Amino acid sequence: MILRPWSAVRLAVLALACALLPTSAQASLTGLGTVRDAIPELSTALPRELPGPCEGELCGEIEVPQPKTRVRGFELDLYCRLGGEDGLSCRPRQVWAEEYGEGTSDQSLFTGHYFDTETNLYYAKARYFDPQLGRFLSQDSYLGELTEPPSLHRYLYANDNPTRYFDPTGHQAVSPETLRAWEEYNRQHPVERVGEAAVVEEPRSEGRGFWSRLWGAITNPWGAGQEVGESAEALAAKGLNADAPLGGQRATDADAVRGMSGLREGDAERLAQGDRGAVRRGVAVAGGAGVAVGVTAAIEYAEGKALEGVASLGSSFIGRAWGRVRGFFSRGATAVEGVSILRPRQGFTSEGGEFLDDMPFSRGSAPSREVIPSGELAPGAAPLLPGRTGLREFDIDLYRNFGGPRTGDQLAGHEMLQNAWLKAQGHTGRRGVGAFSRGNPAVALSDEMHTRVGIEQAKLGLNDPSRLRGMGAAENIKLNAQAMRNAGVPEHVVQTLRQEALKHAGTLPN
Amino acid sequence: MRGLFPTDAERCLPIRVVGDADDVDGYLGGMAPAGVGAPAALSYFLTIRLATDPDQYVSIFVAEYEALASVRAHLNQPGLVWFVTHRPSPRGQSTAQASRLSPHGLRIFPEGEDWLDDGEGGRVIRSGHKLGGRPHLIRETTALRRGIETAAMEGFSYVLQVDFPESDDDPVSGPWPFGDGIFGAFGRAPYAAGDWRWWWDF
Repeated sequence: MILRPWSAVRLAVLALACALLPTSAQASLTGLGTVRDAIPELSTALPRELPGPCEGELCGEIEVPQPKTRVRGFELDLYCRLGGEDGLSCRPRQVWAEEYGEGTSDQSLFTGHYFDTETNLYYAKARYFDPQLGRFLSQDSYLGELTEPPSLHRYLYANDNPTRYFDPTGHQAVSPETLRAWEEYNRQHPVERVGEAAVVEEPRSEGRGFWSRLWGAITNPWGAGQEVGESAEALAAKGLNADAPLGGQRATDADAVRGMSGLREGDAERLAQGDRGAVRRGVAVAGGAGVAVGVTAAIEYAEGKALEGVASLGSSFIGRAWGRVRGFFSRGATAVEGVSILRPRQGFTSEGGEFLDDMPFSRGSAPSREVIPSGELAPGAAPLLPGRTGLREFDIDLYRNFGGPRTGDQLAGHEMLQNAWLKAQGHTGRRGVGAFSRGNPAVALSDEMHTRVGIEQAKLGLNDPSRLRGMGAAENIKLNAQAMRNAGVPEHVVQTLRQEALKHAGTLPN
Repeated sequence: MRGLFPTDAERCLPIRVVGDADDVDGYLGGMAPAGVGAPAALSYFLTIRLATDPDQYVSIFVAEYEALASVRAHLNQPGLVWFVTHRPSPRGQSTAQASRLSPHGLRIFPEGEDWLDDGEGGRVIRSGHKLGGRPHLIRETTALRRGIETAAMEGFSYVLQVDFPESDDDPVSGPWPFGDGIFGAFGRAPYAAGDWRWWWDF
């Protein structure tokens, strides 16, 4: 029997479990601390210090991840069984997402970053993270620091220590302490708002990030191929590559090594051929290795050999950081509705929906940011002089607002849901006419970038009228996103415009 | 020769892409009119009736997209786009400079205002295909504005605008030579090879 949390069946099983379990275990079923008692398999892996008293819907339930929670490309579920001497035994079960035949909705999951089901990649703002490879797909523009060897590996996520560090921007692993310093700066320097700002997407941090992280640390066996701090020689003896398979960089010390042995010889080719099964069976994918650190550490913690990373998993992470990172796991985009400009941000969205621009690369210091002068953006402002603009490149606004007073800004408004597609589908008779054309979100591009995007569009066949006629909105948006990506438009801009374009497409009549 | 397009710049003659037939006012895609050619690197784009008494047509040939992209949003002289004024001619058989667009006809519709209701209480210069009127500039760059002002002083008028096909047009297939954007041509009598200026944008 496979149990779905919060289901009637599950509640019935839990009630039965209460009847079957010893009295001490029954009493503890009212809080999270009961999990250790009720599910022996978890007892050595759960942190000793648990996140406070029973509250809300946690009460009376065995706290497990949401059904089918996606973690690094897996779905998690709880597989429980009645009978036998234990009465109730439950094991976490993980299956590939594909086995459920789902995955059509985008989700913000592990690490709080956004999982794109179209690409099966995590969008970590500055870069994409491939959960199958366990690596970012591109090198970090931040070169790292010699004093922190893991930071020199420019494909690693969060110094390959995700139980300790976060990487809110895709550039830099930050500790809870650093995050706290940024939050403090944010409180002292409130962002000047323009018009009535509203968060486009509510932060989605409650529960899922933590539980995904914890559950992954407990259950992911894909990191079993390596141990913390193994040397390059030890890895080589296991048949694992000490060289980074994607970047060709070599390990700089033991800490870095542990995240650099992700793939066996030929695995990149196997992945490229879609043979993920062959890879996942025998190899410690580097992403798994990150979790393996958590597994190993959790076990050692349980045995009284606490490591720094584990301590943070148990107490520091939960007790101090968790409350402070609420609201930080969002996509980093805020709509300023009063003036309708959407300015994609690479920085994280802190509590309250405020946002910061590019994160600094000096650890522990306060982030820099730019305050938008409200006078430039106010609706009805005086016409701008040639060469002066209220828009910056990559700002997003509605197509109707790219003319008129913004004439002279030398920035083109480029729609991701092509106006040509709107015309081909009969949603608008003419360019610039009607709400569907004029209300189409567009991004401000420089002349050079606009030209490059146009060339990439042509390569993808997006200038073929018959093709546009037979194309759905989602496909049009997807291909145009690819064209922008190929042209070099920053990913966070592509993602933000994509979301806006999808929302606009949702307003079109069927 | 009397130009077809209205002398009043606030009026225009809308054009629509129709099926390839004999009684049309021009061609789009397919093969160029018989006996009409251009520099070898260029491909045929379209032909449209330009004037009556006597009948005159202009055929337009274009370069590859990436070359055109480099001069977008500027007013350009003939070169990457080539204009040939000629007498009526049926489609030819030569595939040497054939368009990659499917073959269609072009039909000119009765004169109308060059304004469109933007649907939100305002009006915009007519986009879409037309003879005459004024250019529907997607983006009024400084360079394009200056080019148009200069052309106007030199006696050029807005002759032709061809936009990416619409749902009312006959279905066109193939790579539109101007991305998914608008192409516009200024001309002046006698409409010889050097009497044209053109722009495009998307």
